[in-house]
Amino acid sequence: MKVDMRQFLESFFDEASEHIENMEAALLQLESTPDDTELLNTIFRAAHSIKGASSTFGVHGVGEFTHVLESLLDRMRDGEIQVTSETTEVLLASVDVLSGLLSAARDGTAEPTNTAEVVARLEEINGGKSSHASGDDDQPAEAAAEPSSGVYDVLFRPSSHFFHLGLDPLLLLRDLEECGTVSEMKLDWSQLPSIAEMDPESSYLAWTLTLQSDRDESELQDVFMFVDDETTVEFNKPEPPAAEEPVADEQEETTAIAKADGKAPAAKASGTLQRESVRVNGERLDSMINQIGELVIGISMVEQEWAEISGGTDSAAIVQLSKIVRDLQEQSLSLRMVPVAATFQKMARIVRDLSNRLGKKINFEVSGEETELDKTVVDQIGDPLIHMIRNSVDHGIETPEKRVAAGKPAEGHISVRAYHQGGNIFIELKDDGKGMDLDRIRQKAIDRGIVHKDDKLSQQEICELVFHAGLSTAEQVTDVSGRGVGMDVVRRNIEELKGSVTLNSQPGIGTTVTVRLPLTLAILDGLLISLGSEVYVIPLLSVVESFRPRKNEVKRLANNMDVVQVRGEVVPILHLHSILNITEAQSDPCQGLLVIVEDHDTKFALLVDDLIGQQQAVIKNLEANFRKVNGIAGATILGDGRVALILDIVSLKSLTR
Amino acid sequence: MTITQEQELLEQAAEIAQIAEMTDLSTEGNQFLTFTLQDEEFGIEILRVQEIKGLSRITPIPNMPYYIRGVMNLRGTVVPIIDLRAKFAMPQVDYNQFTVIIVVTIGEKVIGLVVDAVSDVLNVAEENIESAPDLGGQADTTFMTGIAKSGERLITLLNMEDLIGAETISM
Repeated sequence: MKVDMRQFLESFFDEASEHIENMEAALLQLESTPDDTELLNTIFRAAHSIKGASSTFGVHGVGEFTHVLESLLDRMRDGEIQVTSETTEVLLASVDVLSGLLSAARDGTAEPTNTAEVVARLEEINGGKSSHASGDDDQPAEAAAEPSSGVYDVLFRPSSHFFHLGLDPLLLLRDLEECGTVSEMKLDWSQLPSIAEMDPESSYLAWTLTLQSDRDESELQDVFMFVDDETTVEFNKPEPPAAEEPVADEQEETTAIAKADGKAPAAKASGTLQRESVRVNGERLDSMINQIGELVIGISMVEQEWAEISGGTDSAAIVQLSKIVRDLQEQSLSLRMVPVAATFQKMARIVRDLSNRLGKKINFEVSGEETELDKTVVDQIGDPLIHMIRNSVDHGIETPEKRVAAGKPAEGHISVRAYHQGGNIFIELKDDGKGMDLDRIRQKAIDRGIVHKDDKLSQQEICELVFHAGLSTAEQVTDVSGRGVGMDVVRRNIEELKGSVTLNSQPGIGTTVTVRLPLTLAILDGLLISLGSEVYVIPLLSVVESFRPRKNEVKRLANNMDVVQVRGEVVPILHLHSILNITEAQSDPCQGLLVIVEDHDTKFALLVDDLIGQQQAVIKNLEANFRKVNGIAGATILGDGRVALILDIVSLKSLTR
Repeated sequence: MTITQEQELLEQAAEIAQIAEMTDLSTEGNQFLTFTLQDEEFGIEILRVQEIKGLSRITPIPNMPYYIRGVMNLRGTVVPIIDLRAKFAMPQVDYNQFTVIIVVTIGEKVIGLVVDAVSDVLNVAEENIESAPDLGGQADTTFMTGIAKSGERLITLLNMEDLIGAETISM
């Protein structure tokens, strides 16, 4: 049997990148709380796990690098080397190198160029002592710091299908050997069946060995982290531990509990959550969610048919079934939801690196990082958010001197907050920097011909001008900004996610950017309307109101454009039937209905024949089997099984031009 | 569409499946599903055909070329429907009980083709397929892979990629 190693490698890489994320998060935390030994332990464990697994899987560059990193971390853990901004800096750089090495091994991308440099810096901090071995004759303190050093009796019995998993007991034993000195090793072949009964692809052997090691048990256990559940791995300490040890243990426990009351639990809780999660192939998940979507459509078809057959009496069974199906759908959609924490962490890293580089002091605050969003949305919102946080650090927050001169604290403040509100997720980015120079933006917009110099613009409207292509407000192009990506791209990216972004800036006080995102891209609340014999869906989010206008409220302007007056406001009317080429639909607004929709701050009225009702629509994109159609955001399947098109408010408007 | 019509179609499809089974499947892949448009016979590779379906409600897509009739719900998948008569600029007729939709796959995409009627499954030996005639710009033959001869019949073999290709669906 040939075993495909790739899937194991995949899971190794996935886990390694999770470890790297944890390391980075802990390092960033460590900077503000350098005395937190638990954080150091977390970092060490992560590095150690990567090292162990990478040698198992033969990703040697990673193994060698983590070895150097680990030696330093070990000494930091023992308190021999203090946590300073310099060490944190180097460690963060190491995390980058590590992640670079891993992606090089995974995707064949170029290896990070600064590996040797970072290794040199790590070794320099480590005082030239790059390996454990030299540490032994160092100080008595070192010996005392190794209470866990001892002799273990190790039993290792691979499960019968061990080889089928692509694992090799020898590699693991060798790894174990590297962790200390093996004084005795015995092969236990008592389980070996007679030749006739033997399956050559099964494993029947077990090993017992005596290992002397200065590492604690959990570290040794890490060697076996990739084995399956049925494999037996036991560590026993033959001698009772030294007398003073329990005391130390107790102390540690109390501190841990004390911490648990404070700030630490959040990180811990999320750590456990990750461990309990199951990795699923995205495609499989999507196809399951799709099928449950079909089930929902199916059940509404059943409901309708039953209503026709029974003449309106309820069927308890159908009601029950339909409730279950809808719950099931809700749950299936929640499977795609992931917290925004990872993205926020990336932002924290960027704030840290950038502010150091630019000589600014910034206190970065994050809240609501547990807020969950559709995986697709989280993946795609990262870049826009990072772009905006760069802006805040680069253009928003002033240098400490300038801040003090302006009567503000020297340390700037940036906060990111995620929260739910009314079926949407909001991400708010707030800084207390100098705000945007509204006059300059206005002047620039006039120069570029975007607005006329006589236009009266509100402060808000001027702020929104930065979303126009080609209006960069950076006074000078630094290496941070000026990458040719502007706020217009940010806005477009967000709109592609069916979200919106607003910006408000007050000179001298700061800037707030608010991004609104839908919870999921798979489902939308729709308003069903009829147009001729067709049914269309308007996303409910953009609907403001609907009404039948009176004759005197509708006016035809000179250029054949109809407008309607709504409480003093003049709103243009879009004749949907002519845009969508539908004959036999109502063309007189006073006979049909007007649905007022809003796109950003522009409102317009859609002329429709009638409203049918509100419905949750499972979105099917047309591109799956066809192509993008202007004015149409996608399709959905109605209760009676036919397809209804979902209108795309933004591009509808452009169709009339 | 009434239930009896649907049934008829299903029987028809079952019959075709039966024919397909009877035909020797081991021959090197030159099997075609043939169908008629007007009085002409056309064939498409059988491996492309996902299923044959009765006509059901088609939702028009605005501002599309005439031959793109709209989209249909195929067990939860939204599938574009292309009228081959319209595509070949043949005179239009009302859809009737024989009108069927042949659901084909082109790459990853699933597309429905409206044809007058399906006729049978044909096994054509390589030597009985002639390459498409070059009519020197008189007629567009790029979407033909060749012409198959079966007894008296001449069947135009269609190349789906070129016929439905990039201009219709983005691939």
